[in-house]
Amino acid sequence: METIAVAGAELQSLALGQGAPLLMLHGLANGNMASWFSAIASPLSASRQVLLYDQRGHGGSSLAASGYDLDQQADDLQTVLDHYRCGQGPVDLVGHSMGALIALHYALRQPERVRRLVLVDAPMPARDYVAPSLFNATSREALAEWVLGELASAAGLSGRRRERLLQRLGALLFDTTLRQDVLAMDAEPEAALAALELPVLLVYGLRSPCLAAGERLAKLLPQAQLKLLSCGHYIPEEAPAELLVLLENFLNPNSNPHSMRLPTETLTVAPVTGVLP
Amino acid sequence: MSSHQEQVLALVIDKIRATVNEDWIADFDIGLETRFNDDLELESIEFVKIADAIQAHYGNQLAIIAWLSGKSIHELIGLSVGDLVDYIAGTLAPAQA
Repeated sequence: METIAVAGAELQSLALGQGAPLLMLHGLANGNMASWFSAIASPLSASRQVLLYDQRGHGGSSLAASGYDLDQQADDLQTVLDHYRCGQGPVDLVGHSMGALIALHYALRQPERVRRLVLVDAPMPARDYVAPSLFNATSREALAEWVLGELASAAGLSGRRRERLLQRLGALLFDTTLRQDVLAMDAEPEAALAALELPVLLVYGLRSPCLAAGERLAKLLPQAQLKLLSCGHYIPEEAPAELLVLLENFLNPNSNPHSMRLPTETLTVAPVTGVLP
Repeated sequence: MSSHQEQVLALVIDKIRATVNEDWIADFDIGLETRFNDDLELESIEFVKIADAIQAHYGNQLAIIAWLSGKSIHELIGLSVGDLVDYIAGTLAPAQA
């Protein structure tokens, strides 16, 4: 594990495997590099280098007071890529939820540095999709009530893990600019999306509240394909095996298609509800 | 428990304590039966740090990432300390531990 300094924060990062670089970005609040680590990043690292990092305020990275906007987070991503000597690209990017919005924002700024892009349940615009679930709690007391009741039981968390989740969310929501940064996150401009000439894989959950955002992106992005999985928003946790098959197929188009067929008939995934993006 | 296993267990306990780095873990009685999830109540990110620290300690004698590959987060922290020790002790020859 390595620590990388960015503006106002220190980020914890991890590199797995060797070969062409693929960087994976986790989602907001409850996400960190463990979201990808064993189920998805490790298998993918058998044939490439996989880079993971905890975004500012998440996992083992420091709690930055500000800089949760997409411009700063795309700068953070650039610094991580520079650290691993692939800052000029081409790199494959995979992001879930807020991580997908960061990856997309980076690709729109630096399309020549991105080889392929995978957006997993990207909630664009975040101010419509993320804000309601995240910002219902307007005080620490209300947050504690929500986390200790509904959220922790939905995520199967108890005891120490529940306390730590509450601490992290309290710090992110009340000690940083996260709330105002997310409320300021508009959709990316349609003209910029229409001009993004990159292969893009969109993976959305059939029961995700963000599904309409995926359908919209599929129409706007010129080289996008939309794949739907039978789950909700938390695809890396709810349907990791199915997501891995989609990623392998998209990233290794020449691999044996019979060995990587998605078991659509047997796809039954228990929904996880009530957890933050 | 063989002395080889005991050495590996001591190393794993050391990495758990260093990673968690809170007062309670110093006195917590960690053994082969201890579960990362139910007993230590570790977060998945802490398990990743512990696995990475053990991998860094043993270097290329071990392929802990490949061993964990394909396991879900829930399987990952559902492991016991003994599961991890068995994998490490079984992979390393006693002289290397």
